[in-house]
Amino acid sequence: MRAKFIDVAGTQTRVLHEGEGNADVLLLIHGFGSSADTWMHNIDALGQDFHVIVPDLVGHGFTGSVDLEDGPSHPKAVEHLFGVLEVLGIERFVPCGSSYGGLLGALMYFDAPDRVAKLIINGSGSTFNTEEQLATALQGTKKNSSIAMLDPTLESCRIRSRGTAYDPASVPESFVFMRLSIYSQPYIVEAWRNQLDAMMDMDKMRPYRIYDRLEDIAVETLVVWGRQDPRGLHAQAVAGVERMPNARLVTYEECGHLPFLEKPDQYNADIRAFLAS
Amino acid sequence: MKVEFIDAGGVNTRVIYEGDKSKKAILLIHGFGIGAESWLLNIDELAKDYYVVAPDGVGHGFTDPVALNGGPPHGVNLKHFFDVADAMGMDQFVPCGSSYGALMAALMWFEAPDRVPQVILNGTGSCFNSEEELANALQGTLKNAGGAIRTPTLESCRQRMGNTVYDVSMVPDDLLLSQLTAYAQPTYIGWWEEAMKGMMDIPAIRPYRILERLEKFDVDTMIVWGREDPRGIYERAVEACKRMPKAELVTFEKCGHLPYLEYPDLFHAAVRNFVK
Repeated sequence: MRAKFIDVAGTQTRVLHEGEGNADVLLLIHGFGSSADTWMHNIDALGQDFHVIVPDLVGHGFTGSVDLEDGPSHPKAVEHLFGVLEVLGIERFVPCGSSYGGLLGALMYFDAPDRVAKLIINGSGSTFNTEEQLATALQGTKKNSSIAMLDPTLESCRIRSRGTAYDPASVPESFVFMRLSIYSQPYIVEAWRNQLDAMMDMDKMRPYRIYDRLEDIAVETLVVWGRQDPRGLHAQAVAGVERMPNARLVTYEECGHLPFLEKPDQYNADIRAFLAS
Repeated sequence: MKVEFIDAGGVNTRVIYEGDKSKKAILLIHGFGIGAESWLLNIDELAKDYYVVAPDGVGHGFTDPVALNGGPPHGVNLKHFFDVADAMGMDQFVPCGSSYGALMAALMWFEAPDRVPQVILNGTGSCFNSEEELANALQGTLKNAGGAIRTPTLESCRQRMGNTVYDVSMVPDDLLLSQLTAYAQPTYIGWWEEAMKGMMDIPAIRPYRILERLEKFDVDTMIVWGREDPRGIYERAVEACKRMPKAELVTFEKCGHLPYLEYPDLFHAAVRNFVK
C-alpha cells in the first residue's frame, strides 16, 4: 500500500494505491465523512491482482474541499473522481463504493457507461433507500458523526468509527487514530457540515438519486451487504437488486455497514471472484 | 487524546495532546524523520497525571516545513518547540525527547533553564555520540529512513521502524497509516533531504552539540536507554551520565531505540517516578 498526493484540477488529492498499472483498475470509493483509510484491509490484498486506486473524496481525508455552489456534493465528487482517473491516465475501471461512495460509483456509470467494466456497491442506503428512509439514515449519520467531528478525541473517533460496525473490535485502532488527525483539520469539519446540510435538501438531491432508475443499470453489478447494516436497510437491497437487470446480492452475516473492513478476507475473495468471472 | 492544528510562531503545526493544564506539563519531542504519533502509546496514559503535549516538529508529520537556507534544522526546530509551548500555554514543562528530539530537549534547558525544571532523554546518539559516531549513525538514518520516505509503503514504514527497535513485532500498526500519508506529502521528502544534509554538516551543528558541555547540564535528568539501541551507543550513555551533575540512567533490557514504544508500561512507571 502506497500513498501519493496529486493535483486534480487544482484540488490537492491524496491517493492510496497498490498494484500494477496494466492490471484491471479497481476504484475504491469511501463513504461520507470517511477517508481512503477505510479500505486499509483491502488495498494490499486486492493490489496483488488489480491496480487499486483509492482517493480521498473532495473535502475528505487529506483532499481539499471545493465550492458546492449551493448544490449537493454529488456532482462535484463525481467530477473529482473522473479527474483523478484523468490524472492517472485511466480509461476503463470498476467503481467499488461504500455507502455514499456506492452511489457515486453508480453515478459514474450513468455518466460514462462505456468506461465502467463492472460495478460494485457496498452497504449503500444512498443507493437503495427511499427518500424517507434516506432522510432518517442521514439523521443517524449526523448524530453519530457530530460528536467526533466537533470534538475529536481518540475516544469519540473510536465510538463514531465503531458505530456502524456489527463487531466493534473489527474497526482497527490505526484507522481510528488516522481519523482523529483528519477530523482535527478545520477545513474538513467545515466541508463535512456544508456537504451534509446540502445532502439533506431532498429537492436539490433528487437529480442524483438512482433509486428510480435501477432498471437502467445494465452493467454486471455485485451488491455486498451486511445483514445488520444500520444505515442501508437489507430489505431495500434485496428489493433493489431484483429491479436491476444484471445484479446479484451477497449478504454477509453478523456484519454491519462496512463489509470490506469488517470481513476483509471474505470480501477480498468475493471481489476477486466477481472480477475474474 | 486530542489533535489540534495550531499556529506556532506562524507555522501550521499538528499537536497531539491530552490532560489537565493545571498539572505538570510534559512536552514529548519525537525523533528525526518520524512524527508525534511515535508517542501514541504514551499520551493518554501519561495524561492521567500530566498535561501532555506532543507536537510534530517542522517538516515532520503534518506540520509545515520551514526554510532552512542551507543550515542545519536545529535552530529552527528549537524556536518552533518553544513556540508550541507558548501556544499551548506551557510556562514550565519537562521536555522528554527521543533521539534527535532528546537533543532538542537538552538544548531547551540550555536556552531557558527557568522554564525547564527536569529533562528526560531517550536513546539519543545526537546527545552522546562523538562526532564520528554521530556521522556514522546519520548515515544509518539516511539509508534506513531515506528508503521509507522516498517510496513509502505500509511495509517499508514498518521495516523502517522495525530496524530501530529490538523486536519488529513491537511496532504498533496504529501509527503506520498516519506515517505513510505524512511521508507522501509533496513537501516532505525535499525538506527531509535538505535537513538531513544540514545535520551531516558537522562544523555547522557544532554550536548545537552538548557532549562537550555535559558538566554544565545542571538539571535533574532521567536518561532512558535500551541496551540494544542500534542508533545511540549504550556505553556512551553510561559515560555521559557520569559527567552530568544530576542525571540518572534507566536501562531497559531487550530494548532498542524507542523505549517508550517498546516498553510503554516500564516507561510510564519511570516517568511517574521521576516527575513528581
